[in-house]
Amino acid sequence: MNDPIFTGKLVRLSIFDMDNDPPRLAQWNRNTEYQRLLDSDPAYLWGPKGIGEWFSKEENQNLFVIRALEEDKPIGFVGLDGFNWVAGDAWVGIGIGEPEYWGRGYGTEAMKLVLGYGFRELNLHRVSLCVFEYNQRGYKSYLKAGFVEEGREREWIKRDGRHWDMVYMGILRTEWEALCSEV
Amino acid sequence: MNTTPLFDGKLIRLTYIDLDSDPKIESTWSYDLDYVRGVREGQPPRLLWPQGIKELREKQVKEAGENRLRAYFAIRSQQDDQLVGFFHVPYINTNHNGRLDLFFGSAQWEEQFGYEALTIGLRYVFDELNLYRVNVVIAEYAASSIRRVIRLGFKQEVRRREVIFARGRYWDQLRFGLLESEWRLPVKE
Repeated sequence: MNDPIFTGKLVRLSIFDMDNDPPRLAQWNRNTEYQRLLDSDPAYLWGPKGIGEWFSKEENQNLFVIRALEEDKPIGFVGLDGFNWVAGDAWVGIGIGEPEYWGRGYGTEAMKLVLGYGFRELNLHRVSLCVFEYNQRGYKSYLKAGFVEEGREREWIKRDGRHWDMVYMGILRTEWEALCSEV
Repeated sequence: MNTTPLFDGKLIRLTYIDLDSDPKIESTWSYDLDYVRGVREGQPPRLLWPQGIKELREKQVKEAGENRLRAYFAIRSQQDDQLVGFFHVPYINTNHNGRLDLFFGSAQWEEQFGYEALTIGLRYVFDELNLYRVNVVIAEYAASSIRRVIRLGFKQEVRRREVIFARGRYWDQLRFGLLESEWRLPVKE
């Protein structure tokens, strides 16, 4: 039986497809905006083989491929890592590699699905994320999903000759439960 | 060029980690679980066996030798050469950010040596590692550490709510930052 926790109205969270997904992810990495929103490390071009190996590591198997329900098309990835099982904290990372799905609620829904998984199935107490100051689309999406800003590390990342802050956000179980009861 | 000693203060000095003798001493410090929560952030706190610490420190020293954008040193008292703590810079990224960790074997040593160790550590990260900014991460219950970093000019930037569990309850984690440009200004005492 498919657990409905992995399926929303726009997207579903799926298992990484080792044959078909790595070339697609390699293609996403050619998009400058995608890479610069995703990672503070210098943009890099990994081959499909390296991407497949990275996803195969045990610690990365909490990652999902986000598929738009129409045509079941892979549009990005999302996942939890850096688990602290004592305090019940985990970090979430998300990237939408298909630009036509930016700003349309697909990422926000994928984030909500992951939060449901983290709180209902993994018994997390909170979920954490970091977002660069210049990623306003991401920041707004995380607010919609229920995250609260917890501060900013000043001038954390240098892009195009200026420094930008690193914004920390978090959502507590109690805040997530309050959002769920509103619906 | 400034040739005043990088590693020597009046009270303490930074040295290499002695992989034969230091892990045995560090092991005894693990009865203080706050110490363990510091050195094994995010992992379940437990008593640390000498062999386990030795393997971890060996790995770190090896990594620092292969990639000089990190540093692991011991802190020893000038008076009697006793091991009192550790100084770690566990990572630096391409944005010239790094993290500085100071761990002391007792609250008394931290009180006695913390300020000078932090002063020496900041010179190392800004003038040797050439960082643009540095951050320190402190649990909200560590009041004296918080006072010390504020005294040295750090600004509290982030409060990660309820991300630490200790002594039967949740606590916040505070993250403080200091820019190189701020560090170069004279400290207001």
